[in-house]
Amino acid sequence: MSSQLITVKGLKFVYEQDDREPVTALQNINMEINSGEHVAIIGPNGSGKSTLIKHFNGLLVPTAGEVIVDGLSTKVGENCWHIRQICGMVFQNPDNQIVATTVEEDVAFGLENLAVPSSEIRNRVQEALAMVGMKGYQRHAPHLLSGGQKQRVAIAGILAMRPRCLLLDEPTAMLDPRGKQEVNQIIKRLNQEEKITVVRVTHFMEEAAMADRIIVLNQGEVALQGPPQQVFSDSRRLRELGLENPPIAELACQLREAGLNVPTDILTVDELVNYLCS
Amino acid sequence: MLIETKNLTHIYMPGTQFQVEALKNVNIRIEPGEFVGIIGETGSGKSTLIQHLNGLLTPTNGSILIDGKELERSSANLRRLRQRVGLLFQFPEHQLFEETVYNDVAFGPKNMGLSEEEIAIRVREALSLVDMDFEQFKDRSPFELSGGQMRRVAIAGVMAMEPEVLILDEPTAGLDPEGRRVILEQIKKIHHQKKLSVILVSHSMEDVSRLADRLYVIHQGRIVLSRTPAEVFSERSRLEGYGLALPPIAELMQKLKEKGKAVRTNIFTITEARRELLSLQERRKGDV
Amino acid sequence: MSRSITFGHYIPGDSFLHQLDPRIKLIILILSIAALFLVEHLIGFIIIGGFLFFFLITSGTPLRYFLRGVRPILLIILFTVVLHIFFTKGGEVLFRLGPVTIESDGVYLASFMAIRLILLVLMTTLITLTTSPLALTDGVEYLLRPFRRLGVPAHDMAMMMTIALRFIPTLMEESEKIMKAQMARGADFSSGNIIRKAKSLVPILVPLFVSAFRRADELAVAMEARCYRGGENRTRMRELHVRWVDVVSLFVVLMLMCLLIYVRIS
Repeated sequence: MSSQLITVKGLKFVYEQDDREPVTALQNINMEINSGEHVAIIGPNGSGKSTLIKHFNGLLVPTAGEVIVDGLSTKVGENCWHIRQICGMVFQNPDNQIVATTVEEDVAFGLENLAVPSSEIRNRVQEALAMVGMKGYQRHAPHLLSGGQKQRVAIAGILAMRPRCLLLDEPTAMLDPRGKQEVNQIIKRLNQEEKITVVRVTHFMEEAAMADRIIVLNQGEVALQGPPQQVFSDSRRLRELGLENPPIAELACQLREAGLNVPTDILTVDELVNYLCS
Repeated sequence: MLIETKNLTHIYMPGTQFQVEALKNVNIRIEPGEFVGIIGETGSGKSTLIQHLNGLLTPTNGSILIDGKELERSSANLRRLRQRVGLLFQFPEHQLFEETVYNDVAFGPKNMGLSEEEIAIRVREALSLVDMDFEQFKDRSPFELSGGQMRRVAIAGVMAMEPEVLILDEPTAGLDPEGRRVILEQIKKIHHQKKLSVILVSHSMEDVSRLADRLYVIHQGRIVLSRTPAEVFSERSRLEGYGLALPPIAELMQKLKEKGKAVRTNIFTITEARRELLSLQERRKGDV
Repeated sequence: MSRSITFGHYIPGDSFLHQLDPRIKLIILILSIAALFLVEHLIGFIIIGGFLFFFLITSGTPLRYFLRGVRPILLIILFTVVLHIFFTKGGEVLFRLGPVTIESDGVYLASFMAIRLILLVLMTTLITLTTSPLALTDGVEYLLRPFRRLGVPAHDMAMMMTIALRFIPTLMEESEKIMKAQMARGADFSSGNIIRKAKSLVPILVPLFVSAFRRADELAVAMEARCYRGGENRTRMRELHVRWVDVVSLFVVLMLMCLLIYVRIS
């Protein structure tokens, strides 16, 4: 948990639009993301979450300041292929990121772009599908899969490229509870067992609670940062930022304010039950 | 308006290898003015069920009863039914097509053949129901609005037909917490002001429990539970078998009760839970 | 439910034809079509028809799928037949009613055209039934490769085909959804004259296009994030390898062609 994978220095990003005033989406952003870390980025709509994460693999390039991934600046054009292989990205809509007509072809897509030899591609596709629990679906047509399964295929497509970091832009926003659970379990396991760095944008507080560190954005700037227990212990500040505590953390906060001696690190139902029954 | 289904069965593509029995002998009854939730996981048959209630799908077996009379499937009848039973699909913002918000909301009333003056009145009222300022929005393109605003325009589009029953399929899907809160509040307000029946379809028990008087739980095409939210939530393990998770607060109260704490379990909001837990603590102190 | 619609009506299997290299299959198809139009004797049709029938039977796909393939063009066949019967003159007069005559050349040509068209459709159907869209796309890409120097974007065309195949079911499902949503708002797609009907499609087409563009936009970004940079320096997971069977098959077809040309010249 020591080496820095992503470093952001004085990042500012301005959206230039043809016939409108330029909009400053991000400013004064400084942060480091370490290898193996699990970071959640939260914030109200329009706070710049998606814009920020798109800087981590060079899909967007800073207007001012710098983003350095694995020692390489995203500003240099030819670095971007290496950066995108190291930092793979999964998007919100599972339908709009699957390119091919069968699962295995889609997982192979990134490897084909990296000019990996054919026999090696086959092995890596198998391996990646096994990692997301989609073994046996090689020949399936993507449009017949459930949302959760599609999103797992999308993750496999990134894993096959052997990235060190997964960038996830609201990967569960369009899924049902079962799909959410499937995807969340895989993300957790990849981070804990495969030691893959995870940076995830989310608007579900329960998901943010799974992270090691939460970064709260507000109007394009970092408003709050810290481990979930710390961020969720100040529900008033969160509400000011247009966010809601996860229900159990909120309840714990309110009980504390009412004079009960509830510890500040309670985030889940079972933790609160255990406390109340002890 | 009273809607009932009698032994409703629906089979997709009968007689082929793709045959799927989506609904099996479903009997439901929605009273006028009631707020009913239908919950079930994806593929349980929720969407198929609600599409029968406004005549978009035809039952393979069984029947639909409107005010006690069996629905006759003439095209005039169906059009009238669709006006009386407003149905809002999932991600309704994807159906907007007109150049202005006004025209889009007016689409339903126009299809009903209303006069321009009547249409104008209805559009104005429908937009105010979803808290959108008429003057500010009427000439805007719906495609320039935010996701949440687009969804509100779509709701207004259905409300402008002045239905007696409003069916909403996953109205909060894909919205952030703030957007969800706003939409749910508006649905509550619409139910209250217009005195219509509302059927809220969701796989999120959290949304449903806050609003509905009664729940139908649907699993593999069958209605497996039909009670008040509190009664339904007390069946925690059964619900898990149906692929449904309790909202955290309800789960907390259930688990406390299972551990022998004397708490009420018909609690879904943080405020109520706080009150209940504090009084539990008081009682405990009193006992000591 | 549009979900079950398969494109090109491909039916998986492992017959001889299924296993043939898609490039070879495409070349054979092109040669066979050429052959069809070279043939002027019944004997030629019998030879081609015989081969076709053999493959139809051995492909292991139910015959009704082939018949389904012919159905949509029945009208075209009928039209050509009628045209030839009544308007091609020459030979004996077989039938006369006032100014209308049917002459033997007309009947002859009509039956020729009908057989040609039916065989053509059956051949094409046979290929699409036994070749997955994926293999077909690969085949097209490989076959077009030599023309790249002439400016034919072989890779891009194949990529476009793949994306189209991938998104057609998605967009069909979506159009069904939009249609239902508009019906719920009182839209009527069935009644009225043709102009009214065309107008009633606007509420479906506009949202469909908006969504297609949004999808295209997101897909482009997702492809870029997965290091896509066009066809240069790209490998493929499935490489096509020509085997002996492929070479022999091609040879047999070429021989057949020679035979037909010989029959025609002599």
